Formats: sequence, structure tokens, C-alpha cells
Amino acid sequence: MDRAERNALTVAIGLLLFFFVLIVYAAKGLKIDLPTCITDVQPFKEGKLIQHAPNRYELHVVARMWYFDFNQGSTEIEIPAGSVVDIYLTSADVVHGMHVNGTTVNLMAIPGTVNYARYKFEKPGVYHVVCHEFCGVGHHAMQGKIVVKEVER
Amino acid sequence: MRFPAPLIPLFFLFLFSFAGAQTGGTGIPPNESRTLGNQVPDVVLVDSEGKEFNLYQLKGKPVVLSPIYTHCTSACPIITESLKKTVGLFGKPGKDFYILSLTFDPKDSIADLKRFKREHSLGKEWKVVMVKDKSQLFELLDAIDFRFATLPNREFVHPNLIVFLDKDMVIRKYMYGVTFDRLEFANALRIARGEVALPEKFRGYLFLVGMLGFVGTVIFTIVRITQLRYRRKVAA
Repeated sequence: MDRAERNALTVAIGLLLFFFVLIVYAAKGLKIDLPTCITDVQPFKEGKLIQHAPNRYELHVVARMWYFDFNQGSTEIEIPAGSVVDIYLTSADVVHGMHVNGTTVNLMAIPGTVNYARYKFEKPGVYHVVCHEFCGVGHHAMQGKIVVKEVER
Repeated sequence: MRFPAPLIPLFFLFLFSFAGAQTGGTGIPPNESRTLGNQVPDVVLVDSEGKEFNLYQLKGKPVVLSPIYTHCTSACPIITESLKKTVGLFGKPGKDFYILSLTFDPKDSIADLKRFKREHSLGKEWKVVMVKDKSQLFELLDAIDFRFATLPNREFVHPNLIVFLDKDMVIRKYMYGVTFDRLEFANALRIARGEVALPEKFRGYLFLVGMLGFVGTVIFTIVRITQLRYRRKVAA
């Protein structure tokens, strides 16, 4: 085998092992979850923000052409910093996407199913939510806001 | 034809890939790899009589934790009834182990607990409880990675399961479904009592062993092919 060929092979195997270690670290060390698709639930029709405990929320999002229904038609919600939010997402019409900017929340909104992710909003600020799946002529304007307010101590 | 030796680890990887598979319920199943072996937090519980006590007061005996909500009309009553049937075969609640039917609905009250206990005619030692503080409730639910979704009319989507804690309140085993197999239950109770066979202790490492086998096989195969090609080249 040519020396350059062998070097390339060694580097490739090294990289494979390196990426494998990274994947294990992401899953076990950083505890990054993959979004879960729930198929055995009737998708909800209306967006809703439910508070279960002081820092515990459940957010039902309905993506429609061309807005996100976060809470009874509202495209903007407010939660205190440090809140853990269970995000459930479905679509009322076509396939949409939902990315909460600056977070690891990145979900597909698919009619007939519910997608789920959990996120803890630690930092106060405005988190812009965008649709990242082309969904028609109003796609570029499809956005929402999650306002995370600082908690006064 | 001889079975190619390098493929043996691959074969084991294939076998082990089934070891982690679990039967799911509805909703989002817990991620056992993150919870098994962890201690649950010491929360303040309130039983159906309104009596407050700490979860850690039950230390010393295994605990069977059954997350339910009291006005459930589908899975929770079935879970409770089949648990009642199965538990009777293995001893008395309160004496050999504790049974806690824990409501996860943050809006449930003591009256709801009382009604649930009466409806299912649960014995005196079978505790139907709620967590006093809502934040603490979610600490406990997070510890067992129990997630639920709210539906209209205070209904919930939730995984159907029971959790076995050992005498030190460490999560040892999950059982899924609305009915409970006797053998499986006996096995879970044995694990919660700490009577674990040696192979079971190494179960968590099976994936790693399989993965090492796989990586080893790949490297071995590449090295062999390289050697062969090199020899052929030299011979030529």
C-alpha cells in the first residue's frame, strides 16, 4: 500500500473514532435529546400555554399558514427565566418547521402527528421562532416570539 | 465453509442491539439509561387522609411507585386493579414493600385521593399520595423521567408504567403496560431488593462491548486486507 494511501486511511479511521466519541458525549455527557414523535395522540386544534408549577410549562403549538399559534391565537408568549418548557408541536395544514433561535429546539410540524421537545430557558431575552420548512407564499413571514423575562429576586 | 472469525464480534453486536429494546406505552417513554441507579429526591407527600410524610421515611423497604391521575377513566384504573391483583401474590403492602399510587396531576386534591382509594377499595397500607409542593412534584417526576401531556377536560397522555425503588430510594426497574406479568413482577421486586445476579450487573456495559467488537472487527478487516494486498504486491 502506498504511504499516502495508508496515511489517509489512518486519518479516516481516527476521525471516525473521534466522531463516535463525540456522539456518545453529546448523548450521555451533554444529555442532548432527539425530538420525539408522538403518533398515538389526537393532535390538538388550538395553541395553549399551560403552567403546571412556578417554573414548569407545557406549550402546545399549532403551526398554520402562516403563523405559530402559541396560546389561543397569540404568536408571542412570556415565561420567566429558568422555566422548563415541554413543547408539543403539530400542524393544522401543511408541513412546517419550528426553530427556536439560540436553542437546540428544532422540530418539524407535521399534520396528524405531534412532535415533542423539552427545553429549559435559562437566559432572559427574546427568542425568535421561525419556520424553516417552505410552506407557501407566506413562509418568510411565519414567525413567533418567546419572551423570557428575568425573575426578580 | 469456515465461519469467518472477524465476523463473530459483529454477530454479538447484532444480538446485543436487541438488549436495549423496550416495550413502549403511550406518550413519551422514560429514558431508563439516564434514571436507573439514581436516587429519587426526598419530597413531602400527602396521603388520602391528609397526613404529610417524607418519601425517605419509607426507606428500608422496596417501594413500588405507580404514577396515575385520579380522574383517569382509561389506563390508571386498570393499572391500579392489575397491580392490586399481582401485588397480593408477593406479600403485604406496608410489610414486605410499600406501594404508592402517586397522582401526577398538579390539580389533584386530598378529596380526589380519598375518592380514588375508595373506588378501588385499596387497603389501609396502600398509599394514594400527592406531592405537597408542585415544584417538588416535578423534581420527582423528572427523577423517574415521567413525562405527560395535557389534553382537554383534565385528561393526560402518559406512559403506562410502574417504577421499583430499592430500600435506599434508588430507581432499580421499570415495568410497562397496564397489566403486570407475575414473573416479570417477581423479577423486578427481586432487583429492587438488591438480589441481583452477576450477569445482570454487566448488562449496562453490553452496548460498549458490542461497539468495541464492531470497531475491532472493522480495524482487523482493514488491516488484513492491507496485509494481503501488500503480500500480493511483494509476490508480484
